[in-house]
Amino acid sequence: MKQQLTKDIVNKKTKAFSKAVDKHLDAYRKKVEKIIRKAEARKVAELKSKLG
Amino acid sequence: MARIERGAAMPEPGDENEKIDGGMSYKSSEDIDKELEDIIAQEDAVRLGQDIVEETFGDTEAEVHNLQERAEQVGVNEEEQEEIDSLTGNLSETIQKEQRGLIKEFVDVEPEVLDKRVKEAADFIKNNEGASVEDFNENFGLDEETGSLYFSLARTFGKNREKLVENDQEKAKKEQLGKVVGSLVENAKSTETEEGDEVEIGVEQEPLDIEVGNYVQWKSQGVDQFPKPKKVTAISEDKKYVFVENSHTGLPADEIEKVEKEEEATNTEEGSGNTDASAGDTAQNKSDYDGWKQYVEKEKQVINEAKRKEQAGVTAQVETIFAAARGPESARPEEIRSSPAGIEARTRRAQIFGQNRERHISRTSEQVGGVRFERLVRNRVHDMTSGFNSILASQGLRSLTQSLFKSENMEPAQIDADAAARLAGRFVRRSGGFFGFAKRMFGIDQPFRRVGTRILRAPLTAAYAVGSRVDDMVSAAATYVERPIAQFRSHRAQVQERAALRQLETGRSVDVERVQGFINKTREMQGRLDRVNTPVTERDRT
Repeated sequence: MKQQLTKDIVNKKTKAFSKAVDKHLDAYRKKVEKIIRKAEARKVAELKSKLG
Repeated sequence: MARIERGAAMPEPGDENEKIDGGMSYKSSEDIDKELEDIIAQEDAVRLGQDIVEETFGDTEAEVHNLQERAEQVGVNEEEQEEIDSLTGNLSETIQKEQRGLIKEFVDVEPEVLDKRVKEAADFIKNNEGASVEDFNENFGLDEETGSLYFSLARTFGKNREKLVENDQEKAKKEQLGKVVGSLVENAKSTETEEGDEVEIGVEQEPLDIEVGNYVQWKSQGVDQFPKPKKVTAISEDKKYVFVENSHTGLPADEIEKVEKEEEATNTEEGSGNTDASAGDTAQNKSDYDGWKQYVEKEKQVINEAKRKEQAGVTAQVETIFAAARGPESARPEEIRSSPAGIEARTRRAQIFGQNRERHISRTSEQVGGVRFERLVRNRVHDMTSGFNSILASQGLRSLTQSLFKSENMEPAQIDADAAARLAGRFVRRSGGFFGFAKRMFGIDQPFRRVGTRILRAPLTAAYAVGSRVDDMVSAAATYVERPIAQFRSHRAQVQERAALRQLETGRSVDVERVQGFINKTREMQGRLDRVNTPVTERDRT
């Protein structure tokens, strides 16, 4: 429990945390963007088929 | 060994520095300062951690929100929405796991226990507005250090937990609303987007009315590119390119025009192509020739007109470039800056400077900015000062000073070469670099780069020449002054020596040590004079 909280330690550990979160967010972003692109492509295809 | 009374508190390991004096315990002011510093440092550290964590959460939330909005705008279907929702849920869980990992870095308890405690602490902070760390510690029976740590953790993570809960509630509300109004909104949205897309697609794909076998003319920038219309042999699948006879190059469909008079075109082609077949018909040939001539004349006119226009355009562009180059950008009128010609000129200038970037940079920063010039002056001044110092240190000048001031220890003071160079550099810099210097020294308002360099090179060259002669001049002067002094000294030494010898001969009361010292000194002087008499340039100047 007793641990000296220095700025260096806190900075190092929270930065690592923030980096890990960013990594997860990146993965999430990639997946969601893929879905969005798919939806866009589908929409365009639908409209094209409507136009003939 | 100190006796420990029953009931008295056990001394703690940290209490060694505390002294017991008449029942009063006190700490030295240094210890108190140190403790205070520790506390402040810890608080700072916690605040820093909080800031970073909050920033991370803020960024993540914003990003997730953006992505969800985008998905909504695009109009994802239910399946995809579910997938996105599950991904968001996973992300939230992963981040919570990371959170626990982070807390575990600071607190040595099981993640679940810690999670629960932080939750409790967050609830406590939420329910008791303005609760201090002391209240918190009292309520939970925690020691100061542990309490403050939990307090800060709860403040950081508790807040975000609240946000997550709020998000969930909002989501639930939205879902309820969505069920009622959803269908209506969806319908409205889908019609809007469809209409919008239709217009865009209409603009993109223009129906092509050219078919294989048609005669076409290729017009690029308003000028016919074929002397005669040509027959279409093929059209690309996307209908963007058209292929014509005797050529394998695809021509852009939007620059191709269908020629209506196909028959005439065909006739002309046959007339010029199959001369053998219509050789007998001279009248026909003549009319063909006249037509051809007229056509060529017309074509020439068109080409000349185009050339003239192009030339005028180029001249205008060049004018604009010069105009833009003449003055600083900010001083130009707004119309020129925003006009197409102005933009063109800026682009062109950017291209030019882009091409010669290296040269441009070196010119601006070193030559024009005067950095190189300053360095030149500084180096030269340093060299000259060092040279002068070595002359000052020469035996001739030293002996001169010694005899002038009648002291053996007196030596001419050396000049700090670095300081002198710095001073010179500062002078150049204060004069405003190269241009400022030129303006101040020679009254040139806008020196052109080369002319300026030449003008400044002249005095510099002179300075070089003078500088390299300064050594010789000073040493010559020194030798010139040294000679009579040396002669005088040698004469004086001889006289003194003779006097001493005479005293010895006459047997008068003579201090022998004094005489011996005299002789030694005279010999030393003689040696020094020998050195003085050798030319300065041959001497080892250090």
